Amino acid sequence: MNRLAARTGTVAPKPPAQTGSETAHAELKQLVQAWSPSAARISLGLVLLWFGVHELVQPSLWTGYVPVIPQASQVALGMVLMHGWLLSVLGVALILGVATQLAAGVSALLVLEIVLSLTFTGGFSDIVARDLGVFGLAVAVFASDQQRLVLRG
Amino acid sequence: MRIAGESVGRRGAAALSAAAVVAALLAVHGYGHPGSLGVAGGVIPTGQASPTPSASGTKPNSSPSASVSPSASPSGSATPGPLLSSTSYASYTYQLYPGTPSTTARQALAGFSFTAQPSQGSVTFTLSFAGGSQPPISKSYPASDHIYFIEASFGDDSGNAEYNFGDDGYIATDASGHVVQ
Repeated sequence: MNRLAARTGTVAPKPPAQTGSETAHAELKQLVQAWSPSAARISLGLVLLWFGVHELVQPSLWTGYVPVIPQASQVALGMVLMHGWLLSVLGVALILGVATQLAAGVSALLVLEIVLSLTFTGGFSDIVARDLGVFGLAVAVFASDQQRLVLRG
Repeated sequence: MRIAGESVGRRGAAALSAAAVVAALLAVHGYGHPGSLGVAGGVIPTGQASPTPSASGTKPNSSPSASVSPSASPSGSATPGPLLSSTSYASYTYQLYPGTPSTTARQALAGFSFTAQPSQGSVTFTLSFAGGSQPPISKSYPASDHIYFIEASFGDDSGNAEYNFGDDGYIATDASGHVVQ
């Protein structure tokens, strides 16, 4: 009973009781809210790590994506290897939750560069649309600050 | 330890350092073994493959590459190779000739186009690159041969654009399914 109720002699209305399904829905929502930043971070990390390692192991499969530079050149090969190295390190950082915001921010910039490059060279395509989604994920991870499952100390 | 305003513990720094070293080692390995492709000299590695039989059925780690020398005569005298179905490329092949390519085959052909012109017991197969970035490849085969396109990954195809010619190629077999060498 609050002050007003005590003064006036009335009883404050109680919130309507939640049904079982509403309670379960609320709990599920709470659970998702608590874990989704971590799930997004780890998912993004796995994506980057997969592509990074693949670029390092089979760089010649990726040289076609290097804009302007001829696919068969050593320069393109070197750029793919550097890109793969960076993606791998970023992927590990995100999976472990180390320097998450920095890793997510750099990832977002890298993916944005890919999106723009592919758009300018080949127009908007299914690959660009997919990478746009990864870019959004990276931005979301960059903005989130409630991470779990992170490596500390 | 802080990186760009974020604190990184000892374990984090050690993990990142280890990842950087391992990735660098992989990069060195990758530089020495760039994977597939016979892109040497800028020649896109599309041509007859000479795969070796593999029971593993795993994704080929090297794309079919061989010397592509347009020939005017059918390659009927060539020594038949292994059965295509016994090679690691089998699951990545899409029939182009004879018959009409399937929908999947047309998707695999992203970035390429082909013609197969039968004449007098042979068929002249010509594979062209979208945009004319490379000269077309043309070769004649006995009309009874089968010609397949190889696409190891569709992930690098977009619409009619091919971002990676390294995992594409074509292969011909005789009527019994043996790879024509």
